[in-house]
Amino acid sequence: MLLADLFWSFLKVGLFSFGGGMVSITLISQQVVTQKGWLTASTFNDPIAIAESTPGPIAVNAATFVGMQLAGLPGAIIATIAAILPGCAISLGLGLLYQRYRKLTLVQGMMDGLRPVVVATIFVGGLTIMRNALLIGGALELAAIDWLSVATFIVCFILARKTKLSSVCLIVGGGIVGGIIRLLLGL
Amino acid sequence: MQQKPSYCRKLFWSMLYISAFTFGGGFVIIPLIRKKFVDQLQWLSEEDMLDIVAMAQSSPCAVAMNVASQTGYRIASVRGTVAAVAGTVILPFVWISIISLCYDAFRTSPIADVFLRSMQPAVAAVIFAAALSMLKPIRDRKKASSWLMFAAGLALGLCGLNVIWILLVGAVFGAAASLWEVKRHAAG
Repeated sequence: MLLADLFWSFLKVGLFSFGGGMVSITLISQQVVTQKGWLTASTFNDPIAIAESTPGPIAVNAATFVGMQLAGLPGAIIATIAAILPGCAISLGLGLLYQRYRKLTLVQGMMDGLRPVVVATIFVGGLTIMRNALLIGGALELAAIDWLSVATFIVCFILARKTKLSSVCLIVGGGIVGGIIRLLLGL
Repeated sequence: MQQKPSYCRKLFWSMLYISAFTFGGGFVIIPLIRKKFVDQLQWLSEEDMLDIVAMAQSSPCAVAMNVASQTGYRIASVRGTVAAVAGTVILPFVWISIISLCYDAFRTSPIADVFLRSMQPAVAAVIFAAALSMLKPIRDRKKASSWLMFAAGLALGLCGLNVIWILLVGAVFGAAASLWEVKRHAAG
Protein backbone atom coordinates (compact mmCIF):
# COMPACT_ATOMS: atom_id res chain seq x y z
CA MET A 1 0.00 0.00 0.00
CA LEU A 2 2.55 2.52 -1.16
CA LEU A 3 -0.08 5.08 -2.15
CA ALA A 4 -1.78 5.00 1.25
CA ASP A 5 1.63 5.25 2.89
CA LEU A 6 2.53 8.24 0.74
CA PHE A 7 -0.76 9.94 1.53
CA TRP A 8 -0.38 9.42 5.26
CA SER A 9 3.26 10.57 5.31
CA PHE A 10 2.63 13.80 3.46
CA LEU A 11 -0.55 14.47 5.41
CA LYS A 12 1.61 14.45 8.54
CA VAL A 13 4.14 16.74 6.88
CA GLY A 14 1.36 19.11 5.87
CA LEU A 15 -0.17 19.07 9.32
CA PHE A 16 2.94 19.74 11.38
CA SER A 17 5.00 22.09 9.26
CA PHE A 18 4.27 25.39 10.97
CA GLY A 19 6.59 28.23 10.11
CA GLY A 20 7.71 27.98 6.52
CA GLY A 21 9.57 26.04 3.88
CA MET A 22 12.63 24.95 5.80
CA VAL A 23 10.51 23.40 8.55
CA SER A 24 8.68 21.36 5.93
CA ILE A 25 11.95 20.24 4.38
CA THR A 26 13.12 18.90 7.75
CA LEU A 27 9.83 17.07 8.27
CA ILE A 28 9.84 15.60 4.77
CA SER A 29 13.37 14.39 5.23
CA GLN A 30 12.38 12.70 8.51
CA GLN A 31 9.49 10.94 6.79
CA VAL A 32 11.02 10.09 3.46
CA VAL A 33 14.67 9.39 4.38
CA THR A 34 14.82 8.43 8.06
CA GLN A 35 11.54 6.65 8.69
CA LYS A 36 10.52 5.11 5.37
CA GLY A 37 13.88 4.88 3.61
CA TRP A 38 12.21 5.84 0.32
CA LEU A 39 15.12 8.05 -0.71
CA THR A 40 18.74 8.23 0.44
CA ALA A 41 20.00 11.42 2.06
CA SER A 42 21.93 12.42 -1.06
CA THR A 43 19.04 11.86 -3.48
CA PHE A 44 16.88 13.83 -1.08
CA ASN A 45 18.87 16.95 -2.00
CA ASP A 46 17.47 16.71 -5.53
CA PRO A 47 13.86 17.54 -4.67
CA ILE A 48 15.08 20.45 -2.55
CA ALA A 49 17.18 21.85 -5.37
CA ILE A 50 14.29 21.40 -7.79
CA ALA A 51 11.76 22.84 -5.40
CA GLU A 52 13.90 25.93 -4.98
CA SER A 53 14.40 26.48 -8.68
CA THR A 54 10.83 26.01 -9.85
CA PRO A 55 7.76 28.08 -9.12
CA GLY A 56 5.47 26.96 -6.33
CA PRO A 57 5.83 26.27 -2.60
CA ILE A 58 8.76 24.07 -1.59
CA ALA A 59 6.77 21.62 0.54
CA VAL A 60 4.21 21.00 -2.20
CA ASN A 61 6.87 20.70 -4.89
CA ALA A 62 8.88 18.25 -2.82
CA ALA A 63 5.73 16.16 -2.30
CA THR A 64 5.05 16.09 -6.03
CA PHE A 65 8.64 15.07 -6.75
CA VAL A 66 8.85 12.30 -4.17
CA GLY A 67 5.43 10.95 -5.18
CA MET A 68 6.43 10.94 -8.84
CA GLN A 69 9.71 9.15 -8.12
CA LEU A 70 8.10 6.46 -5.99
CA ALA A 71 4.79 5.74 -7.69
CA GLY A 72 4.51 7.72 -10.91
CA LEU A 73 1.64 10.10 -11.64
CA PRO A 74 -0.84 8.58 -9.12
CA GLY A 75 1.84 8.90 -6.44
CA ALA A 76 2.48 12.52 -7.37
CA ILE A 77 -1.22 13.38 -7.23
CA ILE A 78 -1.79 11.61 -3.90
CA ALA A 79 1.30 13.14 -2.24
CA THR A 80 0.49 16.65 -3.47
CA ILE A 81 -3.11 16.52 -2.28
CA ALA A 82 -2.00 15.15 1.10
CA ALA A 83 0.55 17.95 1.51
CA ILE A 84 -1.87 20.82 0.83
CA LEU A 85 -4.99 19.39 2.48
CA PRO A 86 -4.27 20.15 6.17
CA GLY A 87 -3.04 23.69 5.56
CA CYS A 88 -5.99 24.59 3.36
CA ALA A 89 -8.51 23.00 5.72
CA ILE A 90 -7.11 24.73 8.79
CA SER A 91 -6.73 28.13 7.15
CA LEU A 92 -10.26 27.76 5.79
CA GLY A 93 -11.45 27.02 9.32
CA LEU A 94 -9.68 30.12 10.61
CA GLY A 95 -11.29 32.14 7.82
CA LEU A 96 -14.75 30.87 8.80
CA LEU A 97 -14.13 31.67 12.48
CA TYR A 98 -12.89 35.10 11.57
CA GLN A 99 -15.97 35.85 9.43
CA ARG A 100 -18.20 34.85 12.31
CA TYR A 101 -16.43 36.54 15.19
CA ARG A 102 -14.64 39.50 13.61
CA LYS A 103 -16.95 41.99 15.33
CA LEU A 104 -15.73 40.89 18.78
CA THR A 105 -13.31 43.28 20.45
CA LEU A 106 -11.11 40.38 21.47
CA VAL A 107 -10.77 39.13 17.90
CA GLN A 108 -10.12 42.63 16.61
CA GLY A 109 -7.45 43.02 19.27
CA MET A 110 -5.84 39.75 18.20
CA MET A 111 -5.73 40.85 14.59
CA ASP A 112 -4.29 44.21 15.68
CA GLY A 113 -1.52 42.28 17.39
CA LEU A 114 -0.98 39.92 14.45
CA ARG A 115 -0.74 42.54 11.69
CA PRO A 116 2.54 44.16 12.80
CA VAL A 117 4.07 40.70 13.30
CA VAL A 118 3.02 39.75 9.77
CA VAL A 119 4.65 42.84 8.26
CA ALA A 120 7.81 42.00 10.20
CA THR A 121 7.84 38.43 8.85
CA ILE A 122 7.53 39.73 5.29
CA PHE A 123 10.45 42.12 5.83
CA VAL A 124 12.59 39.36 7.32
CA GLY A 125 11.59 37.01 4.48
CA GLY A 126 12.67 39.63 1.96
CA LEU A 127 15.89 40.19 3.89
CA THR A 128 16.78 36.49 3.82
CA ILE A 129 16.27 36.31 0.06
CA MET A 130 18.20 39.57 -0.34
CA ARG A 131 21.15 38.28 1.64
CA ASN A 132 21.43 35.16 -0.50
CA ALA A 133 20.96 37.14 -3.69
CA LEU A 134 23.29 40.08 -3.04
CA LEU A 135 26.07 38.30 -1.15
CA ILE A 136 27.74 35.32 -2.82
CA GLY A 137 27.30 32.41 -0.46
CA GLY A 138 25.45 34.73 1.94
CA ALA A 139 28.75 35.79 3.59
CA LEU A 140 28.73 39.21 5.28
CA GLU A 141 31.90 40.51 3.60
CA LEU A 142 32.64 43.32 1.18
CA ALA A 143 34.31 40.90 -1.24
CA ALA A 144 31.19 38.74 -1.36
CA ILE A 145 28.97 41.51 -2.72
CA ASP A 146 27.53 40.69 -6.13
CA TRP A 147 27.33 44.18 -7.66
CA LEU A 148 25.15 43.15 -10.59
CA SER A 149 22.59 41.79 -8.12
CA VAL A 150 22.77 45.00 -6.09
CA ALA A 151 22.06 47.01 -9.24
CA THR A 152 19.17 44.68 -10.19
CA PHE A 153 17.74 45.03 -6.70
CA ILE A 154 17.88 48.84 -6.70
CA VAL A 155 16.39 49.20 -10.19
CA CYS A 156 13.58 46.70 -9.47
CA PHE A 157 12.81 48.29 -6.11
CA ILE A 158 12.50 51.78 -7.62
CA LEU A 159 10.37 50.46 -10.48
CA ALA A 160 8.13 48.56 -8.05
CA ARG A 161 7.57 51.67 -5.92
CA LYS A 162 7.31 54.33 -8.61
CA THR A 163 5.63 52.63 -11.57
CA LYS A 164 2.60 50.43 -12.08
CA LEU A 165 4.67 47.62 -13.59
CA SER A 166 3.45 44.24 -12.35
CA SER A 167 5.62 42.20 -10.00
CA VAL A 168 5.70 39.40 -12.55
CA CYS A 169 7.20 41.78 -15.16
CA LEU A 170 9.88 42.85 -12.69
CA ILE A 171 10.82 39.32 -11.59
CA VAL A 172 10.96 37.89 -15.11
CA GLY A 173 12.51 41.07 -16.54
CA GLY A 174 15.14 41.12 -13.79
CA GLY A 175 15.95 37.48 -14.49
CA ILE A 176 16.24 37.93 -18.26
CA VAL A 177 18.14 41.26 -18.30
CA GLY A 178 20.41 40.25 -15.41
CA GLY A 179 20.94 36.81 -16.92
CA ILE A 180 21.92 38.19 -20.34
CA ILE A 181 24.36 40.66 -18.77
CA ARG A 182 25.82 37.85 -16.67
CA LEU A 183 26.25 35.57 -19.68
CA LEU A 184 27.78 38.38 -21.79
CA LEU A 185 30.24 39.34 -19.07
CA GLY A 186 30.96 35.70 -18.36
CA LEU A 187 30.20 36.08 -14.65
CA MET B 1 -18.02 38.99 -0.18
CA GLN B 2 -19.07 38.08 -3.70
CA GLN B 3 -20.52 34.76 -4.78
CA LYS B 4 -20.76 35.15 -8.54
CA PRO B 5 -19.13 32.45 -10.62
CA SER B 6 -17.29 35.12 -12.61
CA TYR B 7 -15.29 35.99 -9.50
CA CYS B 8 -14.28 32.35 -9.13
CA ARG B 9 -13.20 32.17 -12.75
CA LYS B 10 -11.15 35.35 -12.42
CA LEU B 11 -9.63 34.01 -9.20
CA PHE B 12 -8.66 30.74 -10.86
CA TRP B 13 -6.97 32.37 -13.86
CA SER B 14 -5.26 35.03 -11.75
CA MET B 15 -3.83 32.41 -9.42
CA LEU B 16 -2.77 30.23 -12.35
CA TYR B 17 -0.85 33.18 -13.78
CA ILE B 18 0.64 34.17 -10.43
CA SER B 19 1.68 30.64 -9.51
CA ALA B 20 3.83 30.42 -12.64
CA PHE B 21 6.13 33.07 -11.18
CA THR B 22 6.42 32.21 -7.49
CA PHE B 23 10.09 31.26 -7.64
CA GLY B 24 12.04 31.05 -4.43
CA GLY B 25 9.70 30.35 -1.55
CA GLY B 26 6.31 31.19 -0.15
CA PHE B 27 6.75 34.91 0.38
CA VAL B 28 6.97 35.74 -3.29
CA ILE B 29 3.27 35.07 -3.65
CA ILE B 30 2.41 37.91 -1.26
CA PRO B 31 3.57 40.81 -3.47
CA LEU B 32 2.08 39.11 -6.52
CA ILE B 33 -1.35 38.65 -4.93
CA ARG B 34 -1.24 42.12 -3.37
CA LYS B 35 -0.53 43.71 -6.75
CA LYS B 36 -3.35 41.80 -8.44
CA PHE B 37 -6.14 41.96 -5.88
CA VAL B 38 -5.33 45.16 -3.93
CA ASP B 39 -3.80 47.45 -6.57
CA GLN B 40 -5.29 46.26 -9.83
CA LEU B 41 -8.70 44.69 -9.15
CA GLN B 42 -9.25 46.44 -5.78
CA TRP B 43 -11.18 43.46 -4.45
CA LEU B 44 -9.16 43.55 -1.21
CA SER B 45 -7.88 46.32 1.07
CA GLU B 46 -4.36 46.60 2.46
CA GLU B 47 -5.72 45.41 5.83
CA ASP B 48 -7.47 42.44 4.22
CA MET B 49 -4.11 41.46 2.78
CA LEU B 50 -2.44 41.61 6.21
CA ASP B 51 -5.22 39.49 7.73
CA ILE B 52 -4.86 36.96 4.93
CA VAL B 53 -1.14 36.58 5.56
CA ALA B 54 -1.68 36.43 9.33
CA MET B 55 -4.11 33.54 8.99
CA ALA B 56 -2.00 31.83 6.36
CA GLN B 57 1.00 31.87 8.67
CA SER B 58 -1.04 30.62 11.60
CA SER B 59 -1.93 27.50 9.60
CA PRO B 60 0.49 24.67 8.92
CA CYS B 61 2.04 23.79 5.57
CA ALA B 62 3.11 26.01 2.71
CA VAL B 63 2.40 29.70 3.31
CA ALA B 64 1.84 30.29 -0.41
CA MET B 65 -0.91 27.67 -0.52
CA ASN B 66 -2.62 29.08 2.57
CA VAL B 67 -2.38 32.64 1.27
CA ALA B 68 -4.08 31.45 -1.91
CA SER B 69 -6.86 29.67 -0.02
CA GLN B 70 -7.45 32.67 2.29
CA THR B 71 -7.54 35.06 -0.66
CA GLY B 72 -10.08 32.84 -2.38
CA TYR B 73 -12.18 32.62 0.76
CA ARG B 74 -12.26 36.39 1.31
CA ILE B 75 -13.31 37.06 -2.25
CA ALA B 76 -15.81 34.28 -2.93
CA SER B 77 -16.18 32.06 0.15
CA VAL B 78 -15.55 28.30 -0.04
CA ARG B 79 -15.95 28.18 -3.83
CA GLY B 80 -13.36 30.91 -4.07
CA THR B 81 -10.97 28.82 -1.98
CA VAL B 82 -11.36 25.84 -4.27
CA ALA B 83 -10.86 28.01 -7.37
CA ALA B 84 -7.80 29.77 -5.95
CA VAL B 85 -6.13 26.60 -4.61
CA ALA B 86 -6.73 24.70 -7.86
CA GLY B 87 -5.26 27.61 -9.82
CA THR B 88 -2.21 27.76 -7.58
CA VAL B 89 -1.40 24.07 -7.55
CA ILE B 90 -1.78 23.05 -11.21
CA LEU B 91 1.22 24.69 -12.88
CA PRO B 92 3.87 23.79 -10.28
CA PHE B 93 2.48 20.25 -10.28
CA VAL B 94 2.79 19.83 -14.05
CA TRP B 95 6.19 21.51 -14.03
CA ILE B 96 7.64 19.30 -11.26
CA SER B 97 6.20 16.14 -12.80
CA ILE B 98 7.93 16.92 -16.09
CA ILE B 99 11.19 17.93 -14.43
CA SER B 100 11.34 14.86 -12.24
CA LEU B 101 11.31 12.78 -15.41
CA CYS B 102 14.22 14.61 -17.02
CA TYR B 103 15.93 15.99 -13.96
CA ASP B 104 19.54 15.48 -15.05
CA ALA B 105 19.15 17.68 -18.11
CA PHE B 106 17.61 20.43 -15.98
CA ARG B 107 20.23 20.25 -13.24
CA THR B 108 23.16 20.55 -15.59
CA SER B 109 21.72 23.43 -17.60
CA PRO B 110 23.83 26.56 -16.89
CA ILE B 111 21.26 28.83 -18.54
CA ALA B 112 18.52 27.86 -16.06
CA ASP B 113 20.92 28.46 -13.19
CA VAL B 114 21.98 31.94 -14.37
CA PHE B 115 18.37 32.94 -15.01
CA LEU B 116 17.28 31.79 -11.55
CA ARG B 117 20.20 33.52 -9.85
CA SER B 118 19.48 36.78 -11.69
CA MET B 119 15.84 36.65 -10.64
CA GLN B 120 16.59 36.53 -6.91
CA PRO B 121 17.44 40.25 -6.40
CA ALA B 122 14.27 41.19 -8.30
CA VAL B 123 12.26 38.87 -6.05
CA ALA B 124 13.76 40.51 -2.94
CA ALA B 125 12.99 43.99 -4.33
CA VAL B 126 9.37 43.11 -5.06
CA ILE B 127 8.90 41.65 -1.56
CA PHE B 128 10.36 44.78 0.07
CA ALA B 129 8.19 47.08 -2.01
CA ALA B 130 5.09 45.11 -0.95
CA ALA B 131 6.16 45.13 2.71
CA LEU B 132 6.53 48.92 2.57
CA SER B 133 3.01 49.29 1.17
CA MET B 134 1.66 47.00 3.87
CA LEU B 135 3.37 49.14 6.49
CA LYS B 136 0.78 51.88 6.09
CA PRO B 137 -2.05 50.32 8.12
CA ILE B 138 0.51 49.68 10.91
CA ARG B 139 1.78 53.25 10.98
CA ASP B 140 -1.76 54.62 11.09
CA ARG B 141 -2.31 52.68 14.30
CA LYS B 142 -1.06 53.25 17.81
CA LYS B 143 2.67 53.48 18.51
CA ALA B 144 2.60 50.07 20.19
CA SER B 145 1.97 48.43 16.80
CA SER B 146 5.21 49.78 15.39
CA TRP B 147 7.16 48.65 18.47
CA LEU B 148 5.60 45.21 18.22
CA MET B 149 6.69 45.07 14.58
CA PHE B 150 10.30 45.97 15.44
CA ALA B 151 10.41 43.45 18.27
CA ALA B 152 8.99 40.71 16.03
CA GLY B 153 11.49 41.55 13.31
CA LEU B 154 14.40 41.32 15.73
CA ALA B 155 13.17 38.06 17.25
CA LEU B 156 12.78 36.54 13.79
CA GLY B 157 15.82 37.94 12.07
CA LEU B 158 18.40 37.73 14.85
CA CYS B 159 17.21 34.93 17.11
CA GLY B 160 15.70 32.80 14.36
CA LEU B 161 12.63 31.93 16.45
CA ASN B 162 9.92 29.90 14.72
CA VAL B 163 7.33 32.24 13.25
CA ILE B 164 4.44 30.47 14.97
CA TRP B 165 5.64 31.52 18.48
CA ILE B 166 6.01 35.13 17.43
CA LEU B 167 2.52 35.13 15.90
CA LEU B 168 1.17 33.66 19.11
CA VAL B 169 2.82 36.37 21.22
CA GLY B 170 1.46 39.04 18.85
CA ALA B 171 -2.09 37.67 19.08
CA VAL B 172 -1.99 37.38 22.88
CA PHE B 173 -0.50 40.85 23.19
CA GLY B 174 -3.19 42.33 20.93
CA ALA B 175 -6.00 40.52 22.74
CA ALA B 176 -4.70 41.63 26.14
CA ALA B 177 -4.38 45.23 24.94
CA SER B 178 -7.96 45.26 23.67
CA LEU B 179 -9.31 43.80 26.93
CA TRP B 180 -7.37 46.39 28.92
CA GLU B 181 -8.81 49.14 26.73
CA VAL B 182 -12.37 47.87 27.30
CA LYS B 183 -11.79 47.76 31.05
CA ARG B 184 -10.37 51.28 31.08
CA HIS B 185 -13.37 52.61 29.17
CA ALA B 186 -15.76 50.83 31.52
CA ALA B 187 -13.96 52.25 34.56
CA GLY B 188 -13.55 55.78 33.32
